[in-house]
Amino acid sequence: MSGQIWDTAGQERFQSLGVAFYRGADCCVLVYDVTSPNTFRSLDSWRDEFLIQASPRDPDHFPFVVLGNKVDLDNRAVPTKRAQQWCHSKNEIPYFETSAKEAINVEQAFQTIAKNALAQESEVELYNEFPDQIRLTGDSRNKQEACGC
Amino acid sequence: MIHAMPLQSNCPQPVIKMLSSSSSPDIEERDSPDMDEDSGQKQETKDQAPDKGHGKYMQWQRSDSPSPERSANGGRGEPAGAARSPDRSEWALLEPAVGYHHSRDNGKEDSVSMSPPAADSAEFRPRPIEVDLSEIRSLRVTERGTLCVIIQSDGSTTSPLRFPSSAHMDSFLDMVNSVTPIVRSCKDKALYLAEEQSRPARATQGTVDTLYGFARFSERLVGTGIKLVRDFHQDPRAATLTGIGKVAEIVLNRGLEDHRPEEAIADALRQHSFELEPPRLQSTQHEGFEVVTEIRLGEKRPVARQKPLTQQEWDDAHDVEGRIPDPDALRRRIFHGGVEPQLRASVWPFLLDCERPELTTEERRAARDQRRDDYFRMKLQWASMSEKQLTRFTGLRDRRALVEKDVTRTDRGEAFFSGTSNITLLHDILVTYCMYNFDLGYVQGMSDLLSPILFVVKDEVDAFWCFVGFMERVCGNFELTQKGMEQQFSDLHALLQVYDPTFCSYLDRNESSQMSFTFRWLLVWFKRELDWPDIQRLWEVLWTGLPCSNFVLLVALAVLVQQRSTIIESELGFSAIVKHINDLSMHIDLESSLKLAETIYGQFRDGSRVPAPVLRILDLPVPPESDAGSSPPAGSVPAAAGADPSPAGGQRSHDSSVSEDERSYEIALASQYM
Repeated sequence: MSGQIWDTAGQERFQSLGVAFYRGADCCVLVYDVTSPNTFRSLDSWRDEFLIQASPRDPDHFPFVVLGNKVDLDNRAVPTKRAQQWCHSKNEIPYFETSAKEAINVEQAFQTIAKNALAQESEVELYNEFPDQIRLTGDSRNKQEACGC
Repeated sequence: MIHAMPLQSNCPQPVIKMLSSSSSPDIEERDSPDMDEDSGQKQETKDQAPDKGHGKYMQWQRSDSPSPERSANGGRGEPAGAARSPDRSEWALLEPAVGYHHSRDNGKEDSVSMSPPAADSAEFRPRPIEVDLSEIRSLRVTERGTLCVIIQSDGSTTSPLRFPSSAHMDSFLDMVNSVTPIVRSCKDKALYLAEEQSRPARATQGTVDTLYGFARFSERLVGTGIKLVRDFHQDPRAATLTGIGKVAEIVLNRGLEDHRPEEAIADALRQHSFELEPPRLQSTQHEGFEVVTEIRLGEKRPVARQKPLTQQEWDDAHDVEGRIPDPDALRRRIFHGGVEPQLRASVWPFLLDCERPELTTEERRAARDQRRDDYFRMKLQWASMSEKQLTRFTGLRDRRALVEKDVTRTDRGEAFFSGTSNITLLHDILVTYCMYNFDLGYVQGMSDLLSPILFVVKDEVDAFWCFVGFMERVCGNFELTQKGMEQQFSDLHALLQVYDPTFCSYLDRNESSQMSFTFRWLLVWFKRELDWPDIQRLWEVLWTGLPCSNFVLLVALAVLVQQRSTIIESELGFSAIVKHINDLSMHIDLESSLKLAETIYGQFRDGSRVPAPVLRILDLPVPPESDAGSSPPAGSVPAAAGADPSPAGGQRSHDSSVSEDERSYEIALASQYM
């Protein structure tokens, strides 16, 4: 089992190219800076943008995880409660307060991300089990059908 | 594109036959009831195709065509009538809908007509389709199990075979499976792959093997053919544009026309043998049909790189008063060899339009003083601001914050930038650039463009103005709208489509048609892909603007096509392609890529029927409509006259819309053929 983590960071003007990476994602991690209210306020638009671009089958239940980063800094500007409320209002998005610098909560956050991505992945696979359009009678072919590559 | 031609009532029913060489002991086995045979006749291969060697063949043949095998049938193992499937009469050879036939009435050679072939057309008599079962690589079944294309190991494909129902298809697949085990592809449910072990090493002396270049041709196509054909059906138009889906059709249909299939194939191969690639086809949609034109690129001529420009040559390029009388010659020299490292500080300001060649040493000194004053005036504008002032100047404060974040992580591995003083210089120059061009401001990537310049020229003022010169060329990359980047992606895609349609089609099918995986290459001109000495070499070559202002795209194309087989044979998908391209960083051979880029430029220049939009990307002259059709064959284009590329004539305009391009292309086509 391996996961790919795409960091679409970069100046906003480059984001138009990042949308190509949204497609097929199994989880979307929204990160803001707890010392910068602006970054918190833009969570909404990032979430919307993702849902528009990735157009997941079930937007209301697509797994997001929100991270409030830089909790190691003193000049905190976004109260935990506010962030939690936002996550609650968006269908209970898991929320972590992290410090990449001090490695606070990073492990836990990624555990959750991986778990939710995995759940999403299997759900999608179930969904994709369309009946085959071509009926097969050749037995040797049928046996190979379910190979996992 | 139409594959499914309604069978006309007067369309003779083909027969399917299993043929076997006389020495094959398997004849009897394969005369099983599973085989949907019309006559079920077994046939010694030698009667029909004496050079086929040993093996098992499937054959489809029009029942109205001369069938010598019936009379020649030796009667060995005459199948019982019971062997006939009740469905057999519904098996039909689908007429190839897209014919590569010469519509002589309008003289449009090379054009492909979509009009249904007239039933009475004597020209359109198909030769039998024969498939060596051991050569089957895969079968692609589409249209709810009613359409099948067989891909052979050489990448060739049969014309689409239409079955009346998926049940017929099933019995057909069973029959194939009984001879050559096939498995359904786990990646593509419509694809059945012949199992590896059942594919014996090709041990034939068949006629095709004697064809010039065929073996290598096959090599190149193996492994790609399968997917290509798949694409052909999923997105016929895209596949047409990108070529290979059609190569088999063309080869086949040429055979249909003149009954000399092998020669036709040989011709087709010979035409393309210079690089053993399928024809490059350009398709233009018209109402109800499409025109497909074959693009020919010029000969692939290897080029040599020269030694870097020396001090002596640089000195000799100046007259006694310090002017550079022939700056174009100097640029050409630098294009071919670059500059010796210790000379770069003097040469780069010239390349970046910071030093003007027409000035004398005296005038140059004065100009330099002026630039110094200008720089420090602009620097003072921000450096003299008080904190209070800055708090009320968000625009500048934000730009400065961005610069600060980036310079501390720019080339810190280089000794020159490991300390803080040169990082401070980077910062100061970039913030001053914000004052110089506040609208653009600072955008990520700019620090990467500045650092080698600062390293080379060492002087803050010179570095600033050189950077300004560089930004003049690449500021489009940093626009807010990202239009410049997107234009380059689409230009690169257009170049690839002509240069390597197979590869391009692969990328298209793997969600990579946007070419955004080349983002970093193009944004900062390979800064993150090449090591410190190489990036200096590449940039000084590119700054010459030779042979065209978009040469960076050809460098990108050269680097990219060197990865084609890796990407295709490894079957890399969207994210794997991004990863692979990113991982190329520091593993790119610059000199060979520059050579290839220049070679490719020559091929486009010397090509014929290269679409005008593609020519414009490379600043190449678009042939006037009147003589668009008289372009000489590849290789004899007046390339010699332009042995040395001419300097770029400014930025080409990107304003031509697709429809305009198409229109002009159609006009060109029309004048070519009328």
